[in-house]
Amino acid sequence: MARGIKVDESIDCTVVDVDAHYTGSFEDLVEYIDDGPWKGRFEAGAEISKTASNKGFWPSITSAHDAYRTPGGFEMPETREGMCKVMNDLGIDKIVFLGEQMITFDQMKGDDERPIVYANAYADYLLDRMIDPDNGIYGTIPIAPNDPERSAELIERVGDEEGFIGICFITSMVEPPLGNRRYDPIYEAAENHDLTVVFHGGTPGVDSFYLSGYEYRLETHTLGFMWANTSQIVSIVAQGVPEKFPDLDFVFQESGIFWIPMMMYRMDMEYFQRPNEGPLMTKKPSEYMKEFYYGTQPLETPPSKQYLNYVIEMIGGPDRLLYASDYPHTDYDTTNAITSIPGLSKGDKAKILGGNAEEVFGI
Amino acid sequence: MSGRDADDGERVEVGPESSLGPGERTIVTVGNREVGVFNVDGEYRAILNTCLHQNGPLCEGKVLPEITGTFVEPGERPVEEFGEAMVVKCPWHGWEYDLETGQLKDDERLRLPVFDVVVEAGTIYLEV
Repeated sequence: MARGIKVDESIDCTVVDVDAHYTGSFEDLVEYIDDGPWKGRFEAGAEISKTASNKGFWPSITSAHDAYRTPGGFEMPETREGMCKVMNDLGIDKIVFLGEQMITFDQMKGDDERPIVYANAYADYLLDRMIDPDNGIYGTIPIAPNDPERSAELIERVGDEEGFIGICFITSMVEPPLGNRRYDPIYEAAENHDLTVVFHGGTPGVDSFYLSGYEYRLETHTLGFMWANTSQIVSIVAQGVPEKFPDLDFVFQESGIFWIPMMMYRMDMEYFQRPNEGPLMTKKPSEYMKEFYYGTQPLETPPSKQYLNYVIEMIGGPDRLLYASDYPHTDYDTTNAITSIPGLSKGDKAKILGGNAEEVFGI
Repeated sequence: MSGRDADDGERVEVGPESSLGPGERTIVTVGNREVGVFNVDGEYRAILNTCLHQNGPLCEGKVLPEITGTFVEPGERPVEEFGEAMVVKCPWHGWEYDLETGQLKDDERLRLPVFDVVVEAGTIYLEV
């Protein structure tokens, strides 16, 4: 199932994977939607998703451009038992996952209700079928950013359920960006329920995000997740979200780590030139960014691994990093991505592999 | 521009009180340095005339009140007001320094020297 990934026997600490994806289908969600028109729509959606779409051959986004040559990826189980087996195979003690389907929230067009219907159904589905804190399986509550009030209601409804340890925004194509005060009810609800806020990079296709015309996934996948997170982090910092909600922890995921110092120093320079903007800020942008947490995947592989140490030092040290696999996607990182970083003590590696996540998520 | 060479610990004459009214400024050469002397609503302030960023002529820039923000409640725009501090803004790239402390906003490592200004018998002196 895990395609021969070998557990690193040298690791003797708790391993927490803060970003795995469950690939459940619309079909699984239908029973969690109340009888009515939306149940029918999701049933039909499940049927459509089974059939071959012409998108795969005449792609509307570069994500689908070259599907026949992707390595194939890994399987993801659809039961608690299967999940436990995968975790055992991978040497992971605790796992935090988010729904695969919500990564496409940013592509939903037309009606504005679909994402929140999906989010509610998905939350119930997770609780009923997957989340299992006794076996180390945790999840984040999907957020429909286009509907802050009902997203806050969802947090109020399930935020205290054992196993939900955070909320998750997909960060691509969210307008206005996530520092805007219209999202305050979401942050407020998360703070009230002691939930960590996860910002997860979005679709690899930036085809319709900032500019169009890219031809290859090579181009869009290089930019997409990183672009999504850079777009949001400036807004969250400048609009003072950490000042408004000081008890919240913030985690940014799926953009690697080299983008972080770039944004720290770029935004500091802007802040020095425009210090009257960002009126709620009480410190320079990089200081906020050094208080956020970052999933490590996909960890860059520079020609000298020592460069990783410089980045880790710049962003505030190993305490800022949380091991993330992105399993079962094809840019999956094994724990070896962390254990092979030179210049980190065994204790620092243990923090990145699990200790930091246990603290941030309270698991 | 007025002033004369001086060693540290010296007092440098800036000019008669009448030469520096509220809202006015002058730049004094002290040895190989330049210092801006400001009359900010009757309070004298003095700061080095060399921005830490790229050595711009800081004291030729605008003098403005700082802006502070207060979070009122979720979903509402923060309330912006003038704070108590007055800043001088470098005309080159806009870096702003607190005229009283020499501090660049929110970076403790970046602070310019500020100097005391005294008035005796109708004459303004800069203490360097």
